[in-house]
Amino acid sequence: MGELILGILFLILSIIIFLQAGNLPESSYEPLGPSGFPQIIVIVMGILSIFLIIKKLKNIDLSQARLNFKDIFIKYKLIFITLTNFAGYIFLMRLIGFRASTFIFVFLTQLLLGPRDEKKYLIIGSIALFISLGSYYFFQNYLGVIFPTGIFFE
Amino acid sequence: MIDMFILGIEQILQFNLLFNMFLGVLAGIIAGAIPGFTITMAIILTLPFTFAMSPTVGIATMLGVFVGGLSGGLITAALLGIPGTPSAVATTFDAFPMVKNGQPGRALGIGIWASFFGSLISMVLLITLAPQVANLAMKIGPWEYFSLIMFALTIIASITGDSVIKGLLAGLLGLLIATVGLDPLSGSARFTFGIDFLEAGVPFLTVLIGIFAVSRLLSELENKEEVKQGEELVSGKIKFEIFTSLKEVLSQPVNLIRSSLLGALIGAIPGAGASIANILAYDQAKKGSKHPENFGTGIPDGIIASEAGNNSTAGGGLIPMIALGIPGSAVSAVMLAALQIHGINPGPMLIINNPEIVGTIFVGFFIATIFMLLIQFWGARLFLKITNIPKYILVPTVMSLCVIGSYLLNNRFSDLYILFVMGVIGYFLKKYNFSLAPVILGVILGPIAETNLRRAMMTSSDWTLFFTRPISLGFLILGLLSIMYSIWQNFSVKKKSKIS
Repeated sequence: MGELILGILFLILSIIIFLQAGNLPESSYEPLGPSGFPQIIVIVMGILSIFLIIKKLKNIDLSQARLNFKDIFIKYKLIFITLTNFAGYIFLMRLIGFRASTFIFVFLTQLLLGPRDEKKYLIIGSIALFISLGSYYFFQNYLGVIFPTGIFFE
Repeated sequence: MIDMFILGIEQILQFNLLFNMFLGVLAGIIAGAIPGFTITMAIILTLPFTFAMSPTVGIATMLGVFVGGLSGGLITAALLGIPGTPSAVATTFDAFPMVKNGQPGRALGIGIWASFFGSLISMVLLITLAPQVANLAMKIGPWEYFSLIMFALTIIASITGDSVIKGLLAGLLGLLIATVGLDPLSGSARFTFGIDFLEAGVPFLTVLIGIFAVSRLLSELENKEEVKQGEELVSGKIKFEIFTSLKEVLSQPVNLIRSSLLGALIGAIPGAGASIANILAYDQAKKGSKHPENFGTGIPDGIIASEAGNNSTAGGGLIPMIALGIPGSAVSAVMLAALQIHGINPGPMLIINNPEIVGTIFVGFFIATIFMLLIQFWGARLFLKITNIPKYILVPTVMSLCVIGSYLLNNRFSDLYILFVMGVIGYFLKKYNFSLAPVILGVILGPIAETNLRRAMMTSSDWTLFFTRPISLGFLILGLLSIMYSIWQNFSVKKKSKIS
């Protein structure tokens, strides 16, 4: 089922890009222009995705296909948690800076993924502190990278 | 040639370089030893650390990770029966039984020496062949270059993964990602969909980290129980008999040389990397053996074949990268990206324009191999402890390193959004068995392919030249053959499995 959906997504992507490429300006001094190469790619991509869709449709039993979001969530809970934290991390970094956001992300994600055990707070806390402060000072001093400091340290 | 070596030795003999390279080998071995972590991922994560280094130091460090990573898979393959990387699958066949027979030191010792000699033999091949191939490549025009890239892409897409269609789709997706942003020739913005930051394009390092590392980390979280604890450790002492295992390896010169040459050759073919080489070398060793029935019971022959086979792909894989500027595998694609980040353009002119880089690669390869040998014998026991770190600690930690790596390249927040999206795309592709290597190669080769295609069409608008120029036609035919061969192979595998 997933492969079928990916096949359909590939097909949609090729159609969108093909149409978009048609709007690109043409070049007077070169025959292909900016649209030629992408159009060649998506034509082949479109054809291949149709093949994939047909192949998967042949084998699929639609009566068995059911989307139960609750089951999916339970099965992939850890991935959802991590992705949400990851998105929050990227979003927060701009606001509260690299050090604080990295600490929160590493600490919180370890906490949510790991076993419930009070003894481990110290361990995961030190790891989060080491990663956030260690990488900040290492990269700043050694590579001269300026990480966002955020509202707390301005 | 000799000048290049002298230059290479001059570059290598700096404390700073040797120290970084040593750390690289160490990091590579550790990463290779952790099941689920690939060598590609280790090299990608090392890349940001090399930004501030000079090109030679940076390349030497990455080379260290590469050589170390290839041998790191041996530790878990032998002691736990789990290949740390796909390139050590065949190592488990004989090394693990040997460990179970109570000889962990012997299994590791033989594996380490076989890795060492495999690397050495492939280095000799690299040094002799790369300049010759580069000489040939200087004579080809944009038509041939475009066709060569198409050939490389088709073979990569068709060899890797379980389906030719999916492999090709992944490669095309990579080519398409590379077209986002300003067009290199005309300067018009393509496929930005009104998002301003996309005008700067999609940086390939971010795609690399997202597609390979973030997606991999997410997949590691699928099994909830495994996340909470690390892998089981082998308890007890491991005793090395360094010279006895050296003797055992050297007592099988035919097996050693055959496996190494096979590995180097497979490494040089785009798409076929260490993950194929170890199995093929093992298979050949078994077929050529007087006692094939003993394979799989814990005999040295199998370990030698697999480890020499996978380590020798390193040198082989560098041949097309140095001589043609075309990466043979995801790993060499990252090495290529590293050179580009340091402002060096790999390709036929590399040997002439930057002999010090090529010299460093040649000599550095040798030094890295020696470091690998020392570190492995000294620390194999310690590395096992690292595999015991549970995933719930590893995943968030490495993920934050992915963020740092992506941010470092351009100091841009927008790259982090791209990283997130690429991670999710990579995860879904991986989940549904699309191989990820073609995506990366597409992203890296896309701009080269497009520029050469358009340059060819600007020189002459006659597109039949791609088919009438013999070398160009040859590459295109080879590409077609590789696709047809894979389709045929898929069919015959399915037929066989139906019959059985």
